[in-house]
Amino acid sequence: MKVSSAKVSKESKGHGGHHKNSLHSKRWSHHSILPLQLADQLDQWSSVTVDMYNNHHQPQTSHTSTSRSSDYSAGGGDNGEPSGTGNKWASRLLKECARAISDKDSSKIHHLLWMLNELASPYGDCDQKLASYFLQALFCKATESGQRCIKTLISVAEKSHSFESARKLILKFQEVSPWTTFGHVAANGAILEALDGEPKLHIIDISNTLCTQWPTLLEALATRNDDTPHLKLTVVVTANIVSSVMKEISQRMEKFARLMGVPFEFNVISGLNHLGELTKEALGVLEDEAVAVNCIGALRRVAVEKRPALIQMFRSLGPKVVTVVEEEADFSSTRYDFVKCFEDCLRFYTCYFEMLEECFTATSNEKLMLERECSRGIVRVLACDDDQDNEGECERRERGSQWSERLKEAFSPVGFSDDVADDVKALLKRYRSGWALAQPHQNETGLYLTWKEEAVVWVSAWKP
Amino acid sequence: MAMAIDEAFEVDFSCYSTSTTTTTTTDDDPGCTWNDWGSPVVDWASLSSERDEFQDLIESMMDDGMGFELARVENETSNSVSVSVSTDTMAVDDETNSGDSKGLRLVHLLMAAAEALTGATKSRELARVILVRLKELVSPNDGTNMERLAAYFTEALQGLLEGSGGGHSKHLITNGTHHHRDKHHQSDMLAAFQLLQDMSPYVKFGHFTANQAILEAVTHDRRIHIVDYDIMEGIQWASLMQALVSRKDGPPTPHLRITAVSRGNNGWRSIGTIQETGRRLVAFAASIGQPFSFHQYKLDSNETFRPSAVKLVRGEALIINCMLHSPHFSHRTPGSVASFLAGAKTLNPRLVTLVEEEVGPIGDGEFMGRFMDSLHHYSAMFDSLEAGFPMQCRARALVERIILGPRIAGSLNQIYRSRNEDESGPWSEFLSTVGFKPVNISFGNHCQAKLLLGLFNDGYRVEELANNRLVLGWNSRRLLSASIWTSPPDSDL
Repeated sequence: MKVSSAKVSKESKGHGGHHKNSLHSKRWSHHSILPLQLADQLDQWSSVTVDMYNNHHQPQTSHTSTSRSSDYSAGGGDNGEPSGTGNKWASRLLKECARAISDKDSSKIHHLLWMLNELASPYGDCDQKLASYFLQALFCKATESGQRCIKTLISVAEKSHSFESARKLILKFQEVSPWTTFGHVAANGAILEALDGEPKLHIIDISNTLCTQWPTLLEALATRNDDTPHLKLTVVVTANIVSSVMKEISQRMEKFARLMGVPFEFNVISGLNHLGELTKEALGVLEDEAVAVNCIGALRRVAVEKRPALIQMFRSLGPKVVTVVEEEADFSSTRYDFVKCFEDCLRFYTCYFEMLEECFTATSNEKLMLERECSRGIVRVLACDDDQDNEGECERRERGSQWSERLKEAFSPVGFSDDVADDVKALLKRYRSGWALAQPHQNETGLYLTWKEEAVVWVSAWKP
Repeated sequence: MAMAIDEAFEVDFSCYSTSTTTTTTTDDDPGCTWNDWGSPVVDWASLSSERDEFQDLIESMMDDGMGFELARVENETSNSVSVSVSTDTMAVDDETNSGDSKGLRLVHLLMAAAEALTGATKSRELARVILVRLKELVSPNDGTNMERLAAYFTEALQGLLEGSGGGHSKHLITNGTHHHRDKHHQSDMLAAFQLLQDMSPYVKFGHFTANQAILEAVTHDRRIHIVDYDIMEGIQWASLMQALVSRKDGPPTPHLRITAVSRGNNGWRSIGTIQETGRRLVAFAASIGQPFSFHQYKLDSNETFRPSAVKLVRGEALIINCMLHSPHFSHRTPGSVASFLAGAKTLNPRLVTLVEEEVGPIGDGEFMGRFMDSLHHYSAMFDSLEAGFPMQCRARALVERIILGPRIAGSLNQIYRSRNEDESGPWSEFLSTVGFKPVNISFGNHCQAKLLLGLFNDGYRVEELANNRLVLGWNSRRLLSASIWTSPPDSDL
């Protein structure tokens, strides 16, 4: 979806007035007292980014499989095509296969799966990677083995992930791309504005960010001119994060809060089969708390028909603000039309993979891991029956406009203030070009992060 | 408070932060408690094996067809050519199972590439990617016959892709580097050509069958005139001359005159020029006492044959010799050959000897069918060489590289260029259409062919497909056709 970049509207600034306590103003005041070496480091980091960018725009061998072929002289006229899904061989074969599956043309399916299998590789160029991961999903769809595949993928992921590797991955990603940090900055801004002046804060964090969103917020709370409030942070994790990881995080967060001088309490809720099981009591919401519900990529994990109930449940918590961050794709309204769903899935992940390709170095381990993490989602969406119990997990993304419709049943939108928008823009400036902030059209809410003018991430804030 | 803030920022480095950069790349900052990973590097071995296992799983499930819940449906459309390949018509190595399945896989990939290049839903990008994949799997220098063959076909297809089918393919596989075809060292070419003759009957079959028919047709003639369409090195005539001077009975050695048709452009590969060939033949003839003269007929650039320009002498027996099978034969355009043969008719020759490649069933004459046929053809040739000389890998590799590889490229080029044109049949049919009459292949000639084959591996066979036509084959694949013709009787000189 193409959105126009326009000034953020000033509607509903929350607590009104100039926010001298906003992150934006705080950051400037702190910049002056940064020790010199940190400013240097900031410059260094920027130049590293520039180098990375330049290295990435080497001759167009990125369109051939850089990691697998040698002395191949690029021939033909097909290099340097725009990064749409239309022209590339992988998207053509994949879509053909999806259609064949939908048409139940078994010999064609067989032929295409075989050909994709020959040409795909998770270590090759973008086309090859997409071919590889989508092949897996198509194969599972054709052989009705999606569930089995998910189980395998989960067990492999569990074996190879540790706290350190997961954390390092998230942080590296945040370093090279604003994909996740965009939502953090905007959501934090909205939360701070909504909870301004409250003495007892309770943030319910439903995400898999491993709390990378919160240090900045804690810092902001700590450096407010008025009294530092008490912060209770309740993290709701989905099933595939092991408890030892959260234990590690809890220790670090408590330590950090101590350093910040913020009275802090940390809770973890895990082991839920699905988010619908959450209750006010289980969350430990107390009457005198100012509640913020922060959902990062959380709503899409809820089964489609359970989404309204979840939103109502949030309402019942009486929050001051609900922040929602989701990725722009629609695998939900098309869930009974395999080919259409496939096409949007391919479009979205093509965009994502191409973004990863540009933001990371060619041989980055982190990029590889992020790509691998997509495989579960792709298989789930394309090859698993929603009706079956997918261990409670779902990956049916919806677009911001769709989520808005749902949220409007229980909430009304809150605009992002100019300060927050400025923070976001400043954030985007730190990354390579290609990223932009966009405001949606009329009657739509929230902010969009765009990559090469395509909306990729949506963030919004809501109040009862 | 300032202290706390400094500390806070130091600690905060590792997280995403709006105010500072992250320094996760420098893990050794002592001030960062947040940063002390000691992080174990992700164990790629464990991750990657799962991935490859998956691909292997798909492969094995497809090969076996087991656990694969799709019903295999017979599909006649050209899209599913892969399904209709039957392995028994392919001269695939009968090695271990894995060799077979790799061979089949290579064939499928080649077909997929050919299809992507020319099929209904063309995609150069897809063809390119398939060829990249093929190049990873095969090399012209090692592996099985099928693998080396696939390497040459890959290279040929690559040439088509890059040249968009126009002109000669400029890329050859020569030990991984690329040479223009003309840059092969003469000594290499001589060696390869000699080897091919020693290792197989391909060259001699055509020459001997034609020569025997000529000898039988000119037993009482005192003057013989041969117009040779593509004389190359002229070795055919060395053996004919030898046969002529050693004739026991009959008249003294007849005078032999050869008119070699030559092309103006030097795009053809041969060892030396046509003048050199002439000089060599003259010298050879002198050395064995064969009366001989050599002439050259230069074709113009569009290779139209003008019979009137051929110098004829009264009383001579005119022979038209058309060898289209020379291993290092630069494919002549159909127009050129047709012009020659049709023109030859007006000269009322005593005999026409034609040797050409035998083409198998090619379906509707579309590119894919002819491509597959070409694959069968050269597969049989590779196999025949290996069967006869299994230990002489280097020799075979030389022949493959210098002669067969370029020939494959030329074949595919030809097929590709004419893919949208009307299918022309074998030249023997053309001769018949033009008005030539068949001449029986004598019993002696047939026996001679069998004797020749007997010098080589058992797999070779000769069939008499028509009274005037002998076909050399390897196992079930027919490779070369030699046919003999004459002008109809009422148009004698």
